[in-house]
Amino acid sequence: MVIKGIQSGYGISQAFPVDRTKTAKSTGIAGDTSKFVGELVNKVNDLQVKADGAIQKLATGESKNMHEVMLAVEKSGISFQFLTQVRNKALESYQEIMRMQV
Amino acid sequence: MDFFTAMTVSSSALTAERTRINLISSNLANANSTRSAEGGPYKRKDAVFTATTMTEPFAAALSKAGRGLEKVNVSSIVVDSSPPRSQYEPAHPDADAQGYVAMPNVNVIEEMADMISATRTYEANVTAAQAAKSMAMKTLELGR
Repeated sequence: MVIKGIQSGYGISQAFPVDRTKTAKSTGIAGDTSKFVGELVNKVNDLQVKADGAIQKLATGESKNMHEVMLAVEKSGISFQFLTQVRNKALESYQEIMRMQV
Repeated sequence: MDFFTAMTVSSSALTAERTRINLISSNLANANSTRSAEGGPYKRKDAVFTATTMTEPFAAALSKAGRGLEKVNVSSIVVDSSPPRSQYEPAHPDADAQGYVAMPNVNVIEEMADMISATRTYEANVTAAQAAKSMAMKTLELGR
């Protein structure tokens, strides 16, 4: 009696067709995402550095525009909140996948 | 980000209004100054505001969203050339032969009204900045 292995005829492969080109693309998307997150972190960092600089200038008396400092701090705060939201979302989806029953 | 553009515009308005309140303070402080560096009594000063197009790079890139956005700039500080108020005060060291002293052309009541206007405009711009901020924060709540 010959036991044949599972053949990729009409079974799983047809139910879940795997497109080689698509998988190749998806790694590209993952790369884009990490690039995007990296850029986001850089932008948020820039805003925070700006806010820090503004506070320092106000403290040393170099600048006398209190409102500009306040707005710079607000801008950095909002962008940081945005970054944490993005991070929360990413983590949430990761945990969702980890919880998945195999 | 567009919310930040709104904040930048508000910031320029706050700077402008602060310049205005500084000038009003100067006018009020010198309401009775009969001498000045240019000679003669102090002359009332006023700020001239100009709308200037946003020149930030991202506003240029998003020209559609950034179109029509204008910041406010203090383009110049003008000196009020209206004649000085003359007051009869013969004992004053700056009195002329007839006993009249040339006092600054500052009307304290007008300055007070201008001060109220400047304060209210400042408040309005702070409120606009706060609105932009709370809109941004509300947007972040979408992710919760």
